[in-house]
Amino acid sequence: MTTISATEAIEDVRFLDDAEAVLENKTNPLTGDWVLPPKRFSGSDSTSESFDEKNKRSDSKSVMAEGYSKPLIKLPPGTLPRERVKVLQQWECVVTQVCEDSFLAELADLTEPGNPLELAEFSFEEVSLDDRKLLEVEAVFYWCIGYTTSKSGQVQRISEIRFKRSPKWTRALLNSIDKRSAEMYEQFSGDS
Amino acid sequence: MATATKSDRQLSSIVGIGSFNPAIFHPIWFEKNNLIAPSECETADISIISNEVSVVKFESFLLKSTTDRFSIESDDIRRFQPLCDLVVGTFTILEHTPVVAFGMNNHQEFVFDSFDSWNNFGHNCAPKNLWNLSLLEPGMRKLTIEGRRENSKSQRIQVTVEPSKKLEDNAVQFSLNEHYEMAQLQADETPTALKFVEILQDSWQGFLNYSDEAISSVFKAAEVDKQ
Repeated sequence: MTTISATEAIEDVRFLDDAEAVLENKTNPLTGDWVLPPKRFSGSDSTSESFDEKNKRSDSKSVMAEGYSKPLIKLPPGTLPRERVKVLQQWECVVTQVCEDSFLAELADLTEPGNPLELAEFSFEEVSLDDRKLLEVEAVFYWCIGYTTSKSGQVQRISEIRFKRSPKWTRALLNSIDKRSAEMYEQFSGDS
Repeated sequence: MATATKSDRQLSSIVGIGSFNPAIFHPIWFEKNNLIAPSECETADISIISNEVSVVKFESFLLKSTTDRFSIESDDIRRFQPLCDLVVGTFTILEHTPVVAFGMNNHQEFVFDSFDSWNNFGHNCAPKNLWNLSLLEPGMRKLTIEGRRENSKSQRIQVTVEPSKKLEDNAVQFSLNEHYEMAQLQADETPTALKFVEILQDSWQGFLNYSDEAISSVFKAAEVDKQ
């Protein structure tokens, strides 16, 4: 007999149930905003602390609706975007050369992993302004082609490039990596 | 032969169980750490960010976190790999976050060409001969099969099949959850968050490919042409 896995994705209402915040579909008739009912909110020790007590000690700045003493929490109208995307093919690419107004890349097929590597040239114009700062040799990006269908049913062909983002190399992160490397070196040296 | 056409609706998510600080998951934090683009930070929709719970809708992702659960999901297949990159980047920075378990999820929906095809598929998954004597008009509501994936370090993978909740009639949805318990994977003093990141990086694309293959094999066994 199988049980529901703790790491399954769950919908908003059940998510909030699990967080011990039973958020009913109540709105403030004055402002139309969502209002928390006077029930226990999340926390590992929630059995010993009422919602009001927890709310008082909370550091979050809440907007109080007139006539209500509870914080306002507004859920997004829909949990996910409405536009539909049909991807025909997707690649993970590595920049191999940057030219004057274009760049070359090596492509690994994500849709059909068994396909051989390919080479392609892309124009700078195909890269968003935010991502152009990331464009350099050995930078990784994802390229996909397909169709999008808008809410109104309009179909458009797409070719999208999105660069991979990695955390900045902070001193703390580098120190952590150095320390870990040293530990592994010691471990492997000791085994030989 | 019956036909099942893949719908545009597909969702993937990564869920972590452990000890988290929801207040940190502000769009500005992600942007300052080069994990999202500045434009994505500006357009992020914050439902709530607090010490107990955070819900933030980015252009491509939906992030939800409480003190003991973190999840991030996307229904845009173009963003499935960036989704993994975002989680990897986040917990590389937050390397001391205690992660007790994590799971990878994939959800796909298919529309059958007729009611009879759809019904027959359900009957194939759950034959009614065990139920006909005790129930009138028995029908499969939800079926979960658990097993393990070859070459995976996960403790289990569950595949759930049920009539689609969102699509029109004659549709089914497949939900796959691959679950990892960190206690059974930790062999040294590596922070659990870094171990989580390491496994996620190695397994994510394989899990997504496996999801497609597993569903295809189920349809093939049920003699349904998957399109």
